[in-house]
Amino acid sequence: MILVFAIAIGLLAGSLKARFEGIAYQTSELRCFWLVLLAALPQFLIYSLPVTRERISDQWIPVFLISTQFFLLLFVWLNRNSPFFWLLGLGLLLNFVVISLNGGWMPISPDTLISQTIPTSQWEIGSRFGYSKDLVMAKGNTKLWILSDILTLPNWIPYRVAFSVGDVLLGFGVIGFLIHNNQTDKETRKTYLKEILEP
Amino acid sequence: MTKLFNKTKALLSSVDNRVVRLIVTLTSLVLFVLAAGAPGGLGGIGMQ
Repeated sequence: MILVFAIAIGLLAGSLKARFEGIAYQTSELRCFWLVLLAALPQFLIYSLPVTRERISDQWIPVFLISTQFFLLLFVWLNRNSPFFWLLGLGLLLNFVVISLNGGWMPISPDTLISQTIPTSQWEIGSRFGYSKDLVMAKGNTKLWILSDILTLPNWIPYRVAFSVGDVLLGFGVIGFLIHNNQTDKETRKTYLKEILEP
Repeated sequence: MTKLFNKTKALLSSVDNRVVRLIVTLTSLVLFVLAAGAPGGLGGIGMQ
């Protein structure tokens, strides 16, 4: 959810920037949208839809997670010339590396869960945490621990969440992409100004 | 029938190409970030 919030921030900032500059707001065109659908749909069935997520065995989760990440990596590669997609790609790659090295799961440490006041009755070391992508793993057993879900929000924010360095880069990448305005030619600027100034 | 067709045509042409592109881009980005970083539900990234 926090990354969807990043999209809202980017959209707002991009629109305001365009308004200040007196040009129409237009993002770069993204190619091969269907690759994102190919990744998002299986993940929706695995993690979100109650009917299906309860029926899919945990042993299949890593297979699905890693294979769907390939579609996303391909999507980023095909759109690599879009602004800030290098940052999105880097974030995705960091998550992909840590997930791949830890058996297809994003590790989360008991310390992180305790810091977020999750009752110990709700998790167990070596088990999946709820229906999430996370596997509770001791810090010592986690490969590239630094890239796992170790970051949390300050206590004064009433929202329990843990995220990774890759997620942070994804967030900044999305904001950067949406702030960057593709519409900069003077002719369009003149037309836009004419449109908004004349009733 | 012709009237309905013309009405639909007028409605569709009034939808700016820029708006359509923005909607498609935003949908792509939302699905992308949910799949790349936060497939988990209620609690946000990595949490239930």
